[in-house]
Amino acid sequence: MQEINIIVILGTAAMLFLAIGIIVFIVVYQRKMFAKQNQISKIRLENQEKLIKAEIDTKEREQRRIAQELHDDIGASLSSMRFIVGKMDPKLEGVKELGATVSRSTQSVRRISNDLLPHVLEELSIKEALGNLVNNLECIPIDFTYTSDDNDYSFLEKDVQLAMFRIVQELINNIMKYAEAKNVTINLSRSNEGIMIVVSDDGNGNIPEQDTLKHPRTLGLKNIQSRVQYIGGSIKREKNPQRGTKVTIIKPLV
Amino acid sequence: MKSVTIGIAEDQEIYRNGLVGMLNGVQNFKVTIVAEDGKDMLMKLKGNEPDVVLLDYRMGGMNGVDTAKKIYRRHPNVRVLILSMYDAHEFVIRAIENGVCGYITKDDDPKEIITAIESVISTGYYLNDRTSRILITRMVKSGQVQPKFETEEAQFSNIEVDVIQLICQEHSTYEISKKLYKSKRTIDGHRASIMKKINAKNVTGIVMYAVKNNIVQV
Repeated sequence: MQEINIIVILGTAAMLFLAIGIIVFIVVYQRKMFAKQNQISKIRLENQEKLIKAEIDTKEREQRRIAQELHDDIGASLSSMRFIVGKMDPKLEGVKELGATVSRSTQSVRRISNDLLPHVLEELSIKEALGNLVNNLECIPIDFTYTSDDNDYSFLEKDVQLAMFRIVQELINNIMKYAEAKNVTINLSRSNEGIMIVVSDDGNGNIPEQDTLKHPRTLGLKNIQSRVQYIGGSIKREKNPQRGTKVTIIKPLV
Repeated sequence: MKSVTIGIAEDQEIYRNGLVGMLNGVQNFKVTIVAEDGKDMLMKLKGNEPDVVLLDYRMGGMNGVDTAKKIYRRHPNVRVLILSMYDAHEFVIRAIENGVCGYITKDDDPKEIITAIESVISTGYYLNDRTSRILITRMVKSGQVQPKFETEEAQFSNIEVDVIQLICQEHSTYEISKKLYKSKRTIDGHRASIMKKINAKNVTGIVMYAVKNNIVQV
């Protein structure tokens, strides 16, 4: 009897031990798998971020190269042609037109190179560049008001400044396309949170926030999103109390 | 007559050569320094100060305004003019803030460079229509000057308001006439009538008035 009891107890203990072993094994295994999966998705996310960063870097670098070559090379050649035209007798046929054409081409080169790489941002900082951006929008029937604090922003990396500039550019583009706004205000400031840009309009609030069927993969939105990621910042959209939309972009300072 | 000595810092060789050629062709003008960039200019200025220095804004190494700042401190007798492809307001203001006596763009008529140098020699500065507008707009906006007009709020016709706005956007009479589908003479007439209404003596007066009375947004 006693032997059987011992066998039963031993058997039960062995089974219990085995069961616990299996449970422990499963739990540990699951944890490991979970951690691994976490790691994989983290790596995937990191890779994605790296990919976005590389994509933006490549694009902007190429644009910068073209802009600079246009500006420095073609621009200088065109401007120097003015000296040659200046030496010609203005009474000769076509000389005046030649001068005017060269001048117009110089202006086109300047405009195109500025679209590719904003001169003011390149030489000064985002603070002046946003002012210049707004200044150049004067002919549009929307009132743009730009304000900034007295801080200096030139310490920020040029790539980061450029990305922030492009975000504002896209936001303004979307406002002009969809919002039917009359007034738009843009504010740049620095606080404990970091660098903050607020773009606020008094339009209909119908700016698409995501790619939808109606606005399939609007390039602008993708550009905004990827650049927010690029600067390691955040973007927040809210409805204004009366009318319109308020967008806040924050780039934390580490 | 004593000749005017000129220094040039410009990193684009093709433009530099054209500029030197033109200036040396002017009676009384003599280019005494030809530099490839700002640093080169500062080096060559030692013991060889010209009357006027022309600096490009964008240059490798040290840009025109940073160079101007240094020249202003080290060589207070040398007058500096910026000669650049850039025409944005922000550059003009930055340049003037750093002791530059005038700002010309490279797509202006090259003869303006000669006018600017002559003006700097005789008056110490050179402001053309564009730079005056930029500076006045900024001063009025920041409240540094309070323009006063002898007339009370003038009444303008719609077309006059259009003309004022286009003037403020730096359009020439010819461009305005094209935009509004009017002849150049008609626009001249409107311009004269606007100046009469607000007692302005020149375009600058129109711009000041427009900024003050919110006819244009700046």
